[in-house]
Amino acid sequence: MDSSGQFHFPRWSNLLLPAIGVLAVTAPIYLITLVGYGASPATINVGYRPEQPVEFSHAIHVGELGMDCRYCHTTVEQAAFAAIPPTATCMSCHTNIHPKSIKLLKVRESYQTGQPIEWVKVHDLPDYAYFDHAAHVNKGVSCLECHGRIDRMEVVHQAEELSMGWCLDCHRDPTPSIRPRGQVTNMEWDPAMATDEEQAEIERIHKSLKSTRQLTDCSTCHR
Amino acid sequence: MPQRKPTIPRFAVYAIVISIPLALLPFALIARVRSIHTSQPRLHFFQDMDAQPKLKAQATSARYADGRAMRPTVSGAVARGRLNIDDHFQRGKVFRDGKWTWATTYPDRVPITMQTLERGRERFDIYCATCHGESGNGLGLVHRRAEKLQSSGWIQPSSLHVIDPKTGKLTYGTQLYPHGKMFQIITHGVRTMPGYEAQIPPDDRWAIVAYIRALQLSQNAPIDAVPPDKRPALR
Ligand code: HEC
Ligand code: HEC
Ligand code: HEC
Ligand code: HEC
Ligand code: HEC
Ligand code: HEC
Repeated sequence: MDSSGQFHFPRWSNLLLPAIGVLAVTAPIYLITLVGYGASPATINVGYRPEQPVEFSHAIHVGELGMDCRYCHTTVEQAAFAAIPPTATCMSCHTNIHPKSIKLLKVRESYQTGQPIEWVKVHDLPDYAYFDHAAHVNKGVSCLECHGRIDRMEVVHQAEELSMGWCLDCHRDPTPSIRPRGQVTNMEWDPAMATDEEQAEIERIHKSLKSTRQLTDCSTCHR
Repeated sequence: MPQRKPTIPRFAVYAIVISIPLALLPFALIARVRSIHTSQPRLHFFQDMDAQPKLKAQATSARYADGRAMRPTVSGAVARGRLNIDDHFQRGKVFRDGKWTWATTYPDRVPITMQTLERGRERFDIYCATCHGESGNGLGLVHRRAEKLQSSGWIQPSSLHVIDPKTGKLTYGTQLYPHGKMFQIITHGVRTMPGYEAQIPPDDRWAIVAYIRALQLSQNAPIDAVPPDKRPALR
């Protein structure tokens, strides 16, 4: 400030003029990338891992004991919904394995009272979107594509975006993610392992797929 | 007065130097959020119609005392087309010579084809192999773990290939253990083995019975039953 009380930019500020020009260009780009990165489904949706009422571990039951998903999620091949198993399914082993374990207290209580265990839903599409497990599993799309390495999870978390763009990425060309139906629940399967018979089955499924137009039609998922 | 060339003061230089990493900080924070797991539900900027009042499968509902949106079936209720009137198919029993006996044949609805056997293999591997082992020898992974844990109440799942000492025949083979009885064991379980009525529909249970028969043949087959060109692989 000089003696007249007016503010003058100091002379050196002229040197910053080019920097201000650069800022005017970069600031919008900065903001757009920040919001795009921060609000993308990969940031917001992935990694959700709610606490469950019972410390049930897929890593033990699937990874170590080699159980098949369908032993518990019995409806995946017939229904849109993949049923969470009733307590009776757990008790088929746990009446005699770890019968006194504190970790299984809620399971035994539920078995005696008939009150279901309240598992917290992990994967949850908005209610206006329609999803169908049977349609995918019966065409050889593996659980792995959408749920990740469940067999290594102590506690289930969401591994994929489950956003509309993510669904469409596959629906535009599902052929690379098709496997033989018998390998759908096999987390270790690798296309290089396919036998000639399985290769033939994969090709049969490719031919039977609905058209891309049908699979990307709004009414397929919003009905 | 000679014109001094203006220079940018120290503090402004520092401010610029510090603001660049500061501007990158939000990205680092987001990158961290992306790499960790969180027990918080996702942020919901726009509610749209994400949570509608309609009830979905296995959801909760405050309307019912037990909180279940899916109502359990009233006991004794039978869905259309599900009436158990085919005793052979549903219970494994036939009425012969004036009394009910275990069926020794497969029901007409279950054709014994390669397809049925393949289905049986798949279902056996899902539901039985965890305890009984893939070959049915009673040494599944769950049994091995239970043994290691020394679980007191655990009994070894039966080997489906044991020979009955009295008759010299397979204890669970066709002659001593009719198809119908095997079907009934899968349905309702036996002693410490649970029943699988709720998990496996009847035609799959019959497919499993058929596959167990194939397993029993394969485990006790004489070498002559193998085509000559495959024999070296087995020796
Ligand atoms: C021993 C029974 C059992 C087996 C076998 C099993 N699950 Fe689960 N699964 C459960 C239970 C119980 C839950 C609910 C608790 C939880 O989320 O951890 C669950 C939850 C899940 C969920 C999360 C559901 C949600 O709320 O969004 C997914 C996904 C899943 N299982 C996939 C699989 C896959 C894939 C396999 C096979 C590789 C498998 N499960 C095998 C019992 C089982
Ligand atoms: C096919 C048999 C089988 C079924 C079905 C099964 N489990 Fe298990 N579970 C095991 C075995 C075996 C172990 C022991 C693993 C160990 O301790 O090494 C175990 C361990 C556990 C443990 C850890 C117990 C402890 O004290 O360390 C929990 C919790 C558990 N199971 C929950 C469940 C739930 C919930 C279900 C039903 C959705 C279920 N299990 C179904 C076989 C089974
Ligand atoms: C094409 C992708 C996809 C495949 C393949 C898939 N799932 Fe899912 N799964 C989903 C989505 C999406 C949801 C959430 C559904 C909802 O909220 O309506 C889900 C939900 C679930 C649930 C929670 C219950 C439910 O239905 O909402 C379980 C359990 C589950 N999946 C198990 C499995 C198993 C086991 C397999 C393999 C046999 C499998 N899923 C294959 C996408 C998939
Ligand atoms: C990895 C590939 C893949 C992903 C990811 C995927 N799908 Fe699919 N989807 C398929 C295949 C393959 C089919 C079977 C097409 C057929 O029957 O010809 C299918 C079929 C469907 C159908 C049934 C179509 C019909 O007309 O019967 C619906 C509904 C559907 N998908 C919804 C979804 C939704 C919603 C998502 C995202 C949450 C999703 N899909 C993610 C591969 C995928
Ligand atoms: C493969 C399945 C699929 C198809 C095909 C599809 N959608 Fe979606 N759509 C979804 C899913 C899943 C969501 C929910 C995504 C989420 O959780 O943010 C969604 C969300 C939306 C939303 C809400 C977005 C938001 O964040 O508010 C709109 C609007 C929408 N879809 C319109 C359409 C239109 C228009 C078409 C046809 C051009 C279409 N969709 C085709 C699966 C699909
Ligand atoms: C949770 C582990 C478990 C599973 C899964 C299981 N079993 Fe068993 N099974 C047992 C045990 C334990 C016994 C021995 C029961 C005893 O002697 O107390 C047994 C006994 C048997 C027997 C002999 C019954 C008798 O009269 O002595 C047959 C046959 C049999 N199982 C068939 C099956 C078939 C078929 C399946 C698949 C649908 C199956 N089991 C699944 C644990 C299991």
